[in-house]
Order: sequence, then C-alpha cells, then structure tokens
Amino acid sequence: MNLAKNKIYYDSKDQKVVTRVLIDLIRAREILWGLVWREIKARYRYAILGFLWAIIEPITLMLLLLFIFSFVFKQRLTISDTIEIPMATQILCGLIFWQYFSTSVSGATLSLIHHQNLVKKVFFPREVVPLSSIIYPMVNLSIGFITLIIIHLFFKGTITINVLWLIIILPILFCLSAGLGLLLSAGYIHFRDIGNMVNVGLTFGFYASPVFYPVEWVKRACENQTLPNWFYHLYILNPMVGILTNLRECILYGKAPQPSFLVYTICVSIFSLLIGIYIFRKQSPTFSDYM
Amino acid sequence: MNEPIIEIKNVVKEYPIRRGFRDLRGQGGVLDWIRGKKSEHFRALNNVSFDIYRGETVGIIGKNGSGKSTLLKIIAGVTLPTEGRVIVYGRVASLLELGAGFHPLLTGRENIYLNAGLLGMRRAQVNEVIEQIIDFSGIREFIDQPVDTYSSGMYVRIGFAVASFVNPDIFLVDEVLSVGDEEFQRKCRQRIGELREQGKTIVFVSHDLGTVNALCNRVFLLDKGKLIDRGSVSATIDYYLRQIGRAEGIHTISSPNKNIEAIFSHGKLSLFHDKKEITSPLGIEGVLVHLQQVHPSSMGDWLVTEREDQSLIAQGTLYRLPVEWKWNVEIKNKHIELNARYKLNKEIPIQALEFRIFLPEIYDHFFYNGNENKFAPIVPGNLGWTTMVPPKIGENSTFLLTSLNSDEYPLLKIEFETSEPGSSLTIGNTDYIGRSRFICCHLQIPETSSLLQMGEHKIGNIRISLAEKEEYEAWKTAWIQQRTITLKDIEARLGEGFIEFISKKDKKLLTQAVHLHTQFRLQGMWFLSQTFLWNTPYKENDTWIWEGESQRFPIRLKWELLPKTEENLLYSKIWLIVKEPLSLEEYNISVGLIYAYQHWKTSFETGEFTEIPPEQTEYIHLNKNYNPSEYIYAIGNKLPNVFLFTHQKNSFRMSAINPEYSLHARIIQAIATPEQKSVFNLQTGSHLLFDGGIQFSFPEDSNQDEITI
Repeated sequence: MNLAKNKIYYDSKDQKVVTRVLIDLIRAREILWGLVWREIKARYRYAILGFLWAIIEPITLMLLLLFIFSFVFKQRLTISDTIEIPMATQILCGLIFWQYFSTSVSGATLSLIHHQNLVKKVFFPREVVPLSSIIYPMVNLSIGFITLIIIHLFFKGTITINVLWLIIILPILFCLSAGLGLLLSAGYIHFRDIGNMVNVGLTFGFYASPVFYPVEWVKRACENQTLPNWFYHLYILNPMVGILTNLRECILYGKAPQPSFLVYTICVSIFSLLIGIYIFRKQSPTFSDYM
Repeated sequence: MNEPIIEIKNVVKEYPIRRGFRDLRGQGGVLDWIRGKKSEHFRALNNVSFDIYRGETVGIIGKNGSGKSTLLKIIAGVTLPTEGRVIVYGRVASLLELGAGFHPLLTGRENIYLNAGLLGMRRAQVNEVIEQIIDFSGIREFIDQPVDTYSSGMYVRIGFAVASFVNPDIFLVDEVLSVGDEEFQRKCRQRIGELREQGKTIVFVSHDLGTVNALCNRVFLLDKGKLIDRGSVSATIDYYLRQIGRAEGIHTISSPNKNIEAIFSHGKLSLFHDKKEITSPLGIEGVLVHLQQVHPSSMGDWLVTEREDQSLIAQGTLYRLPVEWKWNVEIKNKHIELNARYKLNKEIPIQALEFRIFLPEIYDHFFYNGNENKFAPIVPGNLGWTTMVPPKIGENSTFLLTSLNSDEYPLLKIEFETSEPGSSLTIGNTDYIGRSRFICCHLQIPETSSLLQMGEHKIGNIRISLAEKEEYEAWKTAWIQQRTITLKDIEARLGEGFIEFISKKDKKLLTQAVHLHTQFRLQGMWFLSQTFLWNTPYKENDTWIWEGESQRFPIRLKWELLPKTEENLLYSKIWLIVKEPLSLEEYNISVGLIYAYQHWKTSFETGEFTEIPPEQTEYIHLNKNYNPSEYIYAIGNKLPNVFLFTHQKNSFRMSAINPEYSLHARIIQAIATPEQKSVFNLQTGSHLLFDGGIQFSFPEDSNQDEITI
C-alpha cells in the first residue's frame, strides 16, 4: 500500500515554536470555552444569591469608598467646572475595570498550578489555561458595566457616541492582562515568589492607578509642588493610568479618549502580549516537570 | 500496515532534582537562582528509540523508576524530551489519569462533556454517544450528581467510558486499570480487545504481566531509562522476571562476544544463549540437605559484592541454616563456570550438597557414564522426580543435547569438579509441574568429612560449556575407546561389571542381557558383578586390568584380560580380593548370548537351545552331564561360534541355559561349586577364581572343531 505521508498530529519539535500559537488556540477553542463555562457554572451553583454576588461585590466596595471620601475626607471630584459627575459613578467606573484587571492577572498567575492535574496529564496548548482565567472575569465585568450604565443614567449622566471607543480600549485592557497573565503564570511555575509579588504589586497598583481618584489630582499635586515634578512622568508610565482615564473619559464624560494615553497604552499592551506569548510558549512544554 | 504511527528517536529525558527547603517555599526560589545553584539532573530516559506501528498493542514493562510513565508522558505530549524527537501520526487519548479535568462541583454528565472535550471530541460528537458512555460506565443513577460524591471506582468508570468512546487512533493507558473491581477490569479488557479489533493502536504500561503477555504484540522493557530488547514478548517478560528482587542481589554478566549471558538473581542463575533462555525457569541453584530437608540457595539473602561485565562474586546467607554461600561466576566465550565455597557458622550435620541445573524439556538426550540415552517424556501423571540413569561416583561429566536441529539450544557439557570424594551426577526429569530435566551435581558428605567443620570450605567448580557436535562425537569415541578391547573381528566393550561383544562386520551385539559377567552366591543370595562399583580399566603392557569394589561385602574383583587379536580370543583371569574372611557358596562365569544362537556343545554332549515359552520364569539348564569339563560352545546360524573355556581342569562344570522368557537370551555358564557341597572358605587375600577365556570363531574361516587353548 502506497500511503501518502501521514498527517502529523504531534511533533515534539514544534512544541516550542511561537508562531503556532494562534493555530493551536483556534483548534483548542472548545477546551477554552469548556474551562470558562466550568468556572462560571461551578462558581455560583450552590450559592443562594448566585449571580447577584457579581453585582453585590463591586457595589459594596464602591459604597465603602464613597463613604470614606465623601464623608471622611470631604472631597468632591471636580475636573472642570462644567462637568460634574457624582463620585459614586467615577469610583464605580474605575473599580469595575480595575477589578477585572486584578482578578484576571492574579487568577492567571495561579491558574496553571490550580489546574495542574490537567496540565500534567492531558495534551493541549497550555495557553488555554491562563487565557481562561482572563476571559472568565469578563462575565463579572459585563454585569458591572451594565450596573455602571444604569447608575450613571440614574444620576443624570449622558452617554455619547464616544462610548464606542470602548471597542478599542477594551481589547487593549485584554491584551495587557493576557500578556501579563501569560508571563506571570510561566514565571510562577519556576519561582513561587511571583505569586506573592503579584499580590503586592496589585495592592500597590490599586493605589498607583486612578481607580478611586482621577489622574488630574496627581497632575495638580505635581504642579503644586506637593509632589516632585518628575513624579507625574513616572506615574503615567503605569498603563492602567491611561486605560482607566480613557475609559472614564469615553463612558462618563462622553469625550474622545486622550490620544497620548491611547497610543501609549496600545504600545505597552501589544508589547506585553508579545513577550508574554513568547516566554510562555518557550516554557510551556516542560511545565509538567516542575509541578 | 507498515507505517509507524509513533516514532521515537533518541529520546533522552532528564529531570532536575529538586531538593531542600524549596519544597516549603515552592520549587526554585529566586534566592537559589541568584546563588547560581546548579541543579542536578536525574536521567529518566536514556537514548530510547523505537517505532510503534498502526494497530499494534504494545506493552511497556519495567521496575518502578525505570522510566515507563515518563515515556508515556512524552508520547502523550504532556512533557517534552530533553533531547530527541517524538512524532505521532494520530489522535491520542491518554488514560494517564482517569477523570482529568473533573470539577468536583459539576455533575457527572457535565464532566463527561468536559473530559471528552479535553480528549479531542467536539460537543456535537459527544452528544451522539453520550448515552452509550453513560451505559458503559454503569453509573446512570448517579450521573447527575456532583462528582465529588463519587467513589474512586466511579471516577475510573466514567473516565474509561469516555476514553473508549472518544475514538482516537492511539490509546495510552498507564496502570489505571488496576483500580476498579473485577467486573470493571473484565469490561476494560474486553473493551481493549474490541479496540484492537478496530485497528486502534494501544500502548500500555502495566505490572500485570499476564495481561501483557496475552494482549501485546510487542513489549518494551525499560531498565533505568534504557530500552532492552530481548526479541519476543515472552522472552522479554521472562528476562524481566529473572531479575526480580532488590538490585543488590542481581547482576547480569555476558561473554565477551555477547553470545552467552547469565543472570544471577538471589541465589539462582539463569543462562541465555543468543538471547534465548536455555535453562528452564527453575534455573541453576545450590542445595543443602540437612536432616532430610532441602535448603535451596534461593532461600537466602544475597548480595553481589563484585560486579564485572564477565564475572561476579556473590555472597548469600541462608535463611534457615547457619551457612553462607560464596559464589564466583565467570563467563567466557564458550563456557560459564561457577566456583562455589561455603562457610559454616555453626556445626550442623549436612548429609549432602547438590548443584541442581534445570534444563527445558527440549533437551531430550544425554550421555553419561558411557550411556547415550533419551530422557523419558514428562507427562501429567509424573508426581515426583524420576532418575534416568543411576549416578556413578566419580563420573562427573555429562553431555546434554536436543534432537531438534536447532542452533538455539546448543549441545551442553556439564562438568562437576571437586576435590572432595563422593561426587556424582544424577540425571533425570522433574515432576510435571516443574517440567524440566535436572542434572544434580551431587556431593555426598559423610559424617567425618572436613566440610562439616566450622569455617570456610571450598566445594568445587561447576562448568557448563557449549560443545560442538564434533567435540561430542570425539569425546564419545574416546570414552568408548578407553573401554574397548579390539580383536580382529570382534570388539569387547567393558561396561559396568560386564563385557559386551560386538561383531565388527555388522556392528551387531553378540551378547545380550547380562553379557559376560560373574555371579556369586553369598549368604544364600546371588550377586552379579554388575552390582560392583567399577573403576576405569587401564592397560599394563598388553593386559587390561579392571577392578570393581562390592558395595555390600568386603570384596574386590580384578579382571585381567589379555587379548589375542588375530585369533579373536580374550584370555581372562578373574581374581577375588577378600578383605575379611568370607564364605563363598558358589560362583560362575556366564555369558548371555543373543537368542539367535541355536546349538550348544560341551565335551560330553551337544544340544539345541529350544524355544523358550512365555511362561518360563526360571533358568532351565539344558545339559544333562555336569561332570567337570573345560569348555562349552555356542553355535548359531551365520553367527560366530562362542567358545568359553577354562584352564582349570576339574574346577568348573559347563552348562547351557535357557533363561526366563523376559531376558530373550541364551546363557552358557562355567559353574564352580565347592567340594562335597560345602563352601569356599576364603581367607584375606587374593584368590584366582577363573583362568580361561572366551574366543570367537567364524565358520567360514576355519574348521568348526579347531580349538586354540
């Protein structure tokens, strides 16, 4: 029998080749969906309040922060005299997106170890695991986003067409999370310190990003010499600064996002994605040896 | 289908060894990295290469830690080889762990979808077979319960059910089937059988050697990461089995040309020739007989103290006796030698010591003590061991051969060399359960032997050599030559206390049954010279001297044989050497002849050897005249005449006898009776019993009546 060269299903030489990532992921899309669905179903199955917790958690935190800043610190958010949005909405906006970033990055870092019985026993592109940890919080994000819109409209806010900039900004957030997630999850396998580092980093990042305060406050502080001048430039190196500010601008203020932030964050997120994919791919075939 | 479906090329897999308090902090802290600590590596697989073909069922066996699971993980794609390459040409379902990806809070049904997805099935495909999967798993009533309420057996059942319906090309099974009850195991085996028929390729790791032997076309043996090839499935499994036990007691040696190999495992040796096992599974062992109990060398703690490629030294302490064996085994291109010593830590009575060599039934012929014989077949009725030929003290070598014309089972020569007296070889069959031939190198230990004192003693050497056919034939011939007196037309062969006569012309025996021998009546019973223990005959000038010792009486026999070749005549003088005074009642010198002899003649009468009726159980003397005479003839058609004569006039009466029917022979006898019906009172010393001879004459050559005295 003269058989043509058989189709190769697995070749150990190909496993570290970075360009195969896309093909592998497309082939493995059902596994990815399966993992995400699994988390979703399992998470709220036996909780009485079920899905409601997806709303309750961010809102509680928002109310807490509101209380602290409105009553304890007595600040009112003013950007310009013409625009006045209640603190509540501003904080909520920052919160839901930060929570998405935080959950996805920390989840992704731990995801490989969390699913070690899969990784050690079954063959599939390992990228699927951290990616599932990045896709899953989108559910919470969507619920939170809807809540945000409702509250924003309730407080007589407006939605302009600029909200469509979300279509660009959300993928930037996603790429940033994915890149960091892949990189950190690969590192976590070898250096368990990274788990702790991520915790510390995200806590730090919560205060170092304009989650519950706008970036203008920092700018003002630097102009007022309360903080050194160079601090502002250091501050805006944080990509979440740009992302969160842009999101606030296009959703709440109805403005087009600042181009400087936009371009910068696009570059940073694409760069982190590429590095993440590269390092992850190179390390992934031998993960199971170190688990 | 000759296309490989899995190709494994020169795969090396090394694992970094993880040590120290990393285990508390997690593997590989940054501090270790900064310190630049080099990680050590453990080589799990060492240059493994092979191909697996479509439709094969392949087993991977080996000790724990030999690299089996690692190999399977590499084929599954779960880990990458450190060096080398693996290519798989089909979809793989690995049952490396059943229930991979199960989420405890989800139901069985939901987990089936997930698991099937992980194994490569699309959701739609799963929908088609979901009911069959649930049926096969046998847990339909629990299928909608969350999976953390399941027992491990149920996990295994769903896992296997999903895997077997996933319809991949290749199944990898890693010892998971050992979990699960008998019912499930049976189902699994059945399902694996079905999968084989569908042409699926199955690779499985198992310790269940019975299943492996039954199911697998090929088996790979891994030992410390190296692949060992022994040819067939059963040969590989046997090779693996020969090395069971702790590694300190096991060592393999091979000859410089790799032709012969021996595995020493805890007091037992197994021999291989061209990778085929030539000893039976019972191997070669040493045995001590103490108070009628047999203590084999395998019942002890062994340690191989010196390991070389071609030799080893092993020491073993028996469990139940205060004895330490010390074996030194060396292997050369054509032979293997075991040099044995033992050390007694306490004085205990040991009756005998044996080295037992067990060979497979294929060896069906042996040569021992001048006899080339066939082993009896071993049949289910054999409940005990059977000896084929009586052991002879001092005869310590034998040849073992098989009648098949096969190079795989070579001609073997077994020799037992010892400086201790009382050694012999016993050759026979074991019972039906062992189904082997045994050669016991036996050493009888008398109570006064120095071997029973405390301390270390040398026992001797066992040598097993591969012999060539020519060598064997030459050896046989030489052995026979040593004991053959050649006359002009007749050969006289000295056996164990008797002499056979063979016509050279047609190589036929002229004597039969008891041949030429002497008999004694002592204390009312007859004793034949065959019951004596005979030495190897030797020549002094032209005379052959042959001595034998009685085992019951303090007497020795000495034959002096002087051949006269041209006349086909053998002069014989028979001496009896008595050590203590003895009363000998009667004796004779008899020749058992073949039945074809028809007439007899003494100085007084002639007569016929009549037909012997089947019911005859006694010796019937045919002659009537018993007066002392000097000769008797036997005559037969186309046969040489046999002439038995004596120089001692008046001492012998000649008789012609028809013996019992079963002997199918004729006998001519020279009988010596003491005077006046009393006995021969023999004092210590040598007594000449007989001075005469035997001659053969051919009717064509000369006149029938010509006699030479």
